[in-house]
Amino acid sequence: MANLGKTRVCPFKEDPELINKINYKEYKFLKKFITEQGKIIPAHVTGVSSKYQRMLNREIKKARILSLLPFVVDPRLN
Amino acid sequence: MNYYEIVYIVHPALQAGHLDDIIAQINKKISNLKGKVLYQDNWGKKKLSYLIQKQKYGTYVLIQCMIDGKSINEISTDFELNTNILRHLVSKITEDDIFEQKNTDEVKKERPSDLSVEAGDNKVSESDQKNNNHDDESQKQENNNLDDESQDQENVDNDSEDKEEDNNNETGE
Repeated sequence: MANLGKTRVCPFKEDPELINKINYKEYKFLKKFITEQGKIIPAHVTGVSSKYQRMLNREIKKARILSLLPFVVDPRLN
Repeated sequence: MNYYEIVYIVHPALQAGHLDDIIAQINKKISNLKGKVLYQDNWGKKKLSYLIQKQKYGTYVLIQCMIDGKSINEISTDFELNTNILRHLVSKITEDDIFEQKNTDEVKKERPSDLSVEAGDNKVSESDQKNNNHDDESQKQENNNLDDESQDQENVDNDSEDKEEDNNNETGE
């Protein structure tokens, strides 16, 4: 249902150079793939193919361990 | 022997001298375990996304090393027991992922020039960056990396062009 009327293209297949940016050290880039609350955005919303979504998940979770990205942001605090 | 990348967060209260002591201590530990530190980088003081041991800030240090897989456990326990280290992350990398080590003096010289070469978006926020020293340093480093890569590519392009010209000349003669 999320793709209704729109066909999404994987950003990493459009621009293969971005694949190098899937790394926990590039946490500012990874911020594009998490919500304001800190949740990982599902692939069917962003259009990322499952191969790169798996890589994203891995790196986002590493960045969370190092406190570069939040596990959760409480919206009441903002 | 495998390649590993270790990032650890040092307690923000430590002064520069103590910080160097801790980094030297860890590097010594690695070399004692027959490992080799191939790259070392200090990301500087950054704001944490969430509190760790009631601290808002932490000093990030990145190490890339070559060491036996069995010795990694020993290093990990060292990090756990060291009260000055808030958090650490060990990840396995390949040889291609290793950055080239620069002397600290060179890095300092290159940084200001890199800022002026930046793209338009970054130029606008340059004055803002100066205010946030912590974020500033990390961005500089990222830009450093990006610029280095682009420069390398340019060099490669130039080389290939030169070769083509040479070939043309030869055929012409």
